[in-house]
Amino acid sequence: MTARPVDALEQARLDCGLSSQELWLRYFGLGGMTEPLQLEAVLHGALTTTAHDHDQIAHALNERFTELGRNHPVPYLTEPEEDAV
Amino acid sequence: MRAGSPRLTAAVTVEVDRVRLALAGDLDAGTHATFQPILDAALAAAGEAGTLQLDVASLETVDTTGLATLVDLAGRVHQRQVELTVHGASLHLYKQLEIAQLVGILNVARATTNPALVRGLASLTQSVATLELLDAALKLVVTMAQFVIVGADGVSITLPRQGRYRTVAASNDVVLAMDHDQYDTGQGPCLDAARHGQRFHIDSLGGESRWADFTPLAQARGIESILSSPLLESENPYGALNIYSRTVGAFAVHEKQWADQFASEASAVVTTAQRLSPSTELLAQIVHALQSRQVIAQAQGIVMHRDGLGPDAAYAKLRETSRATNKPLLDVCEALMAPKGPRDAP
Repeated sequence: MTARPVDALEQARLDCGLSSQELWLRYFGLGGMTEPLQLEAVLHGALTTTAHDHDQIAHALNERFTELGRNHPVPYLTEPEEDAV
Repeated sequence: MRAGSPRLTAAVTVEVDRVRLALAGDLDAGTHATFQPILDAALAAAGEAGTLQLDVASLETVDTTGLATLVDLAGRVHQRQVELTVHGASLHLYKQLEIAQLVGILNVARATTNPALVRGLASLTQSVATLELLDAALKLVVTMAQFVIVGADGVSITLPRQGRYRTVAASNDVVLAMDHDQYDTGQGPCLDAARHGQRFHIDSLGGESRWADFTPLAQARGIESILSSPLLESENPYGALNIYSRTVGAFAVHEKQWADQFASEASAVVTTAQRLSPSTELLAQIVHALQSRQVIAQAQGIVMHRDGLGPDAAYAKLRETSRATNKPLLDVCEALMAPKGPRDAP
């Protein structure tokens, strides 16, 4: 069975020790639009979501990993054309 | 002495030991300016008497601007060494002030000690807190919409509250006044969008024959075009997102798409708020998250306009900077806004 991007998200959530609610709060603070229950469904593969939404979840997780001293282990699905803002 | 606008009236009476200032109606972004002169008069009179009593029994709604006005009042009263008391607060207003940590500062008299009503306070906290959250989130939506939609001079959201349609978020005074023209006349594109679940568009108010009581009022405010999009729950309309412009024909295909998107976002926020039952601690975390969203959305808007990008591309750029510099996205966005400061509504 091929691994889906959302599997990596759920595994990362378990790795960095965030509860579903804590992840949702961080994701919501970063501009995420998916509601809490729907986010859980996405992480369990029961609901699909957009690449942009996936990356918002990934970034919420990566910011937690940064706090734990790790460097952005969760991959993004989209990349910007140029780097710096 | 009486003064005010149709939506807010204030009456000052001078007694031997106190000055009473009675407020009736709505204290919000659209009416707070009319409140100032009579407030100055009341304060001047209270300097002699030593006490200013604010009677708020007939105050129906107070938004965040209204709360800020009350805080400002408290500061000025304190400066003059006048005692301030607030009387007649409804349970709803009392809860609002309690959540905003203003009960002590404003010296608000407890509405009642009736045990049955006190028992009802717990569930009231829940609903008031959720409403505060909801209104703050919707304020973000209208601010973003005005920033992003070219030609938009004002954006508002109408929802049913306490038995009638009210504007719960408005990006400026004019759009708030425009909404009230519709509520007062019972006519207008925003009401029809909320009732019928379709988008209503006025390309040029001068040539519009629908809503004959409302359109002259809007024109008198300098409004030329209006776009109202319905908010829907499972295809049932319950509210509207309203955009006005001082330019004729401001809203074409692009702008209508944006309006639909922001209307969807507003609907999502309303649904999320209805499903949350926040504890006080969680409430504080959500408020912080809302503030963070506001900053990020503004920075996103800046990058979109500056680099000609869509919202997702602009966001990806900011996110990449956060990743490359190992700084939180919020910090990156704050830094972007720092040199000029946040964009003000025009």
